[in-house]
Amino acid sequence: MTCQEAVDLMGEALEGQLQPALRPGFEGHMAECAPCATYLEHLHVTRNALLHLPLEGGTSPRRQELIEKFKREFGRG
Amino acid sequence: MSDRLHESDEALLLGLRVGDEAAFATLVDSLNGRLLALARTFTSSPALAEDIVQDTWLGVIRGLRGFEGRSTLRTWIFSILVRRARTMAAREARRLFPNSEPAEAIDGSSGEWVPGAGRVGLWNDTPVPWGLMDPAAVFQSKEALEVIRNAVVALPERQRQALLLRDVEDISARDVCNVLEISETYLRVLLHRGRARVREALDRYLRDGSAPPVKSRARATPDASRRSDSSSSLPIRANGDVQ
Repeated sequence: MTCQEAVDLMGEALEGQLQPALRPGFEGHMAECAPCATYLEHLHVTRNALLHLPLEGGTSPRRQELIEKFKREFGRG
Repeated sequence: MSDRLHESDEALLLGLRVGDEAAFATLVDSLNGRLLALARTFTSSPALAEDIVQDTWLGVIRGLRGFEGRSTLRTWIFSILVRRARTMAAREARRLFPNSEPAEAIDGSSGEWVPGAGRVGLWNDTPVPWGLMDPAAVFQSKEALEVIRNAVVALPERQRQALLLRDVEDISARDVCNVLEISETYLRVLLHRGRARVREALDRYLRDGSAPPVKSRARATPDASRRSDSSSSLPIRANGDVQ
């Protein structure tokens, strides 16, 4: 497996979706290619940080208007 | 990512269907900021992004009775937003530029160095290990998260949409494809390019402390002021280790 092929599979590997048939070749490449292994590790850290990115807060400036519409739609307004 | 809405989807939906306004308020408070983040990927106009989100909520109110639960509540709401956003952003573009052709989304290349084709270990520019003693330190650092947030905001719109939904919201790949109406192959390309750019920004920050230029925002987000805490910076040793 070439570096380019390995990089192309890193997205699936990150998400644990690598096809079983491709796994030995991918893992073999990672074992012998330090730059690719480093790059994969970087992507792991990056994705993990993205998963922990605080979600944007702040409610709607028109929250009350929405609640009134909701109450009217469901018969409580 | 686990969140209140995610975990109690069913209970929340039950409340919504019987007209529980507290349940609806919870839904609005949980999702509004995130919907706005996605809406901003469709338009550069903050006012239009707000209108898209408002219109999405009206669509949610009208559609709740017909929601069949074939996707999660959150995925359904994101789908409504994407449809509204496309329609409203296109209408706005026609109003502003009546004679122009619709713009094609330009995703650009990853901006990354590319490994040498065909040979093992042949990279044009070898990635350098970050030497993190604890990788979790990255997402525990407010400053590092800010670098990541800025990198996401700077992504081309389709890459940003894919990353926001798949990696930040943790919506399944299949559902993201349904929401954005794209193929799984295209989603993989968008994620690959987007993650590569965010990795690149993080690499610059972790190796020499430099943060990418912040894309200006028309409005400060409510929590932006809290991110200036200097104690939140990620301590890096000369060899790249986090202290």
